[in-house]
Amino acid sequence: MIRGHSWAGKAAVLLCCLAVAAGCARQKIIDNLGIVIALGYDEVKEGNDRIRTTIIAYQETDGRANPVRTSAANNTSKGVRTKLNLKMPSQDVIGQVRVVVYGESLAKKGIINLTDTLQRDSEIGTNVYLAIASGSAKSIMSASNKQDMSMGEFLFELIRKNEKYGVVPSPSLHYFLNSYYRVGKDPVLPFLKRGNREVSISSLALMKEDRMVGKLNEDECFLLKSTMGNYHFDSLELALSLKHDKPELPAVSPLFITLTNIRTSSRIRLVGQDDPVFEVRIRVNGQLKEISEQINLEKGAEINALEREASAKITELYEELYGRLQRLGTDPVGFGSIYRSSVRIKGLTSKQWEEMYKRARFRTDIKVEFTNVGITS
Amino acid sequence: MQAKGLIHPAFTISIMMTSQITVGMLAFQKYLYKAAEHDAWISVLATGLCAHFVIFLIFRTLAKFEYKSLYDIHRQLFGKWFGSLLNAVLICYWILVSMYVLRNYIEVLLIWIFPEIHVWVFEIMFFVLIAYGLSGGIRVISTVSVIHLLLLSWLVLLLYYPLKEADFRELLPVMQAGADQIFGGMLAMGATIGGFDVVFFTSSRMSKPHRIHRYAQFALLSVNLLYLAMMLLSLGYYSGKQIENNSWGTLTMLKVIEFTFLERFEYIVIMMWFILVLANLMISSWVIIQGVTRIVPLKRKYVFALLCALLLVVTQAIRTGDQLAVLSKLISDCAIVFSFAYPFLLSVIVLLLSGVRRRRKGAAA
Repeated sequence: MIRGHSWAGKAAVLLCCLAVAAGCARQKIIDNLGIVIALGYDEVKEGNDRIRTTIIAYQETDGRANPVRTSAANNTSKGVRTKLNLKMPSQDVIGQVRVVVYGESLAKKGIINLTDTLQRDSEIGTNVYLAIASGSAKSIMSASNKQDMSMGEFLFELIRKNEKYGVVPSPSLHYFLNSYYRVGKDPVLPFLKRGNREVSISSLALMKEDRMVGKLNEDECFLLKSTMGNYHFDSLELALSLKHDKPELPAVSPLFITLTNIRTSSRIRLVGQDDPVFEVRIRVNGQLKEISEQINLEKGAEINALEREASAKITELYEELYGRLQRLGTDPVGFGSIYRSSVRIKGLTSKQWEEMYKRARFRTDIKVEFTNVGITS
Repeated sequence: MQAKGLIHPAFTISIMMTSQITVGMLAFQKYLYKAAEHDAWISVLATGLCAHFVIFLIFRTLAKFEYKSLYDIHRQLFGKWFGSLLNAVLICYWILVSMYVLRNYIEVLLIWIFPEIHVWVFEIMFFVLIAYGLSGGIRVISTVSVIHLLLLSWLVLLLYYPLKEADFRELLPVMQAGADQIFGGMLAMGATIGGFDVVFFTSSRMSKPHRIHRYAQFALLSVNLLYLAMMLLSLGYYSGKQIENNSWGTLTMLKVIEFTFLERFEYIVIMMWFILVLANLMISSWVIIQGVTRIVPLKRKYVFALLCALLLVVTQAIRTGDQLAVLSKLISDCAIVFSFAYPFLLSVIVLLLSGVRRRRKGAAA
């Protein structure tokens, strides 16, 4: 028993020594760190260097943490650290990176090598947002905003809000890589634009594998995201043109209606195999909050007629979008991945799917339903 | 009150679970996916069923020998010399397993948290704590394994976060992989799930040995379900190529968890894993020491000192990921032999021998 005690005592002393020894690893004192919150990459030709990296890091100056922007050019995104270190007094750590922005010309050539280094790095989380900048990433990151927020934080909050409640599908590193590595699915990222003293998400950048091949406009963003899954949206505006042939409704063209508090649900099935035919069933449920003309909505028949009109209109828009995606050869919805999971072909390659996608047809079953028409009738 | 020095048979659950869930849990998806693609979960299921059968055989063998330690069974069955030789081989296997577990855990630490730390600092920490466990014998070790398992059990809840993002259409169509691919996956899984053969050694220290079997099957079932859930979740959360490219499937999956007060959760998980690895190493050191002291008359603490020195030297010698991969490959082959093939072979031998003996008895009478 006594021997046991002396054992424990010795062990405790040894453990204490080790705790001290373990403290000898390289220290990271938060006051001396530059905490990087945004990264930007651009294509350049400066001597031998091909990639310009811009960082926004919080550094302590005058007792406050201020965002500081620095940039340097090199051939690899990690190699640039050496050059950045020569410019910065603080030790930069990248564990808190929130947003990574790629310049448009770089995005058109492919960004997988630059995202691969992010996933390889154990310090970086998979919730980092990726985005593509019109023009250069550097110009977006050096822009100012009306809120006078640090640009890194501004971009993060902007993208996060629009991902949660708006028309932007998740642009996180995980989703990007998940779509990139999946056969029959392509990533889609928000496209940032610099205006006068403001930066906005102007549209979505369509990618084919890791290359940007086109852009959607703002209205199409809703259509794309609502096809991709079940989501909530803030609002949707539709332009209808009512003809004389409807007894319930007056002939007005154009008639604008706005839905709010929208829930969408989408289900896609493969119904034909050889030339793939997909059945796309989408339900858009929302409150009818605004109409550009005074229409009597007291009777159920009138509301139903309006619903039918809206459904017909939005079906047209959806079909137009799918046609456009097909022409661009990009598949952000993941029709190919649905094809792969419904058909027993072994080892479907992206190349094979690319050929099939061109021949794919879509059968749409899309309905707009008004959950109510507000508190007046 | 139990007989002196014996522990309750329910401790089998915690001992088996800590032996089976170690670093393998952090990184098994890649190897399975390479073999069986999106049907990898079927491999997990099939391996689990095999393991249940092997456990059944193990307990049939043990029941014939009054739940003695495998070391003693060998000597009784094959005589002093050949039995000791077999025991030596077994000891080597358990030493290899400890090396693999220890070095692989340190690899995780090096990659994820402390790229600059010295390997030996962590090793000495482990050795001191293992020495504490060994000084108390199987009683302390089994209790430690229970406590450490309970401390870690809440981590299961964290899987909710990747579950939210998972898309299980990736699993379709089911059974697309051929039987050969499924079998390849089973071989990869065998190494991960191996380690249940620890009951060969601990059963001799338990009271009411006839009740150990049901606890062992229960422990195995929980472990199997956990691995199955993990595999299904990984298949849904990642796309195929992503699993193949990722060496640490489970840890990367936890990167998605984010709280306002805590940016990254896998750091906590890695540090929690320390105590699981600790409990595992305590058990394997105990098994090794039990074996060595039966062959050579050495005091236990000297055996332990030798073991520590050996582990220290070998794990220091492994410097790169490639060298570690060689060790991992060796271990995964050995684990299939020792956890699956050998218990099967042993039960066949026992069956044959008892048949022969009975016939001889019949002839003599």
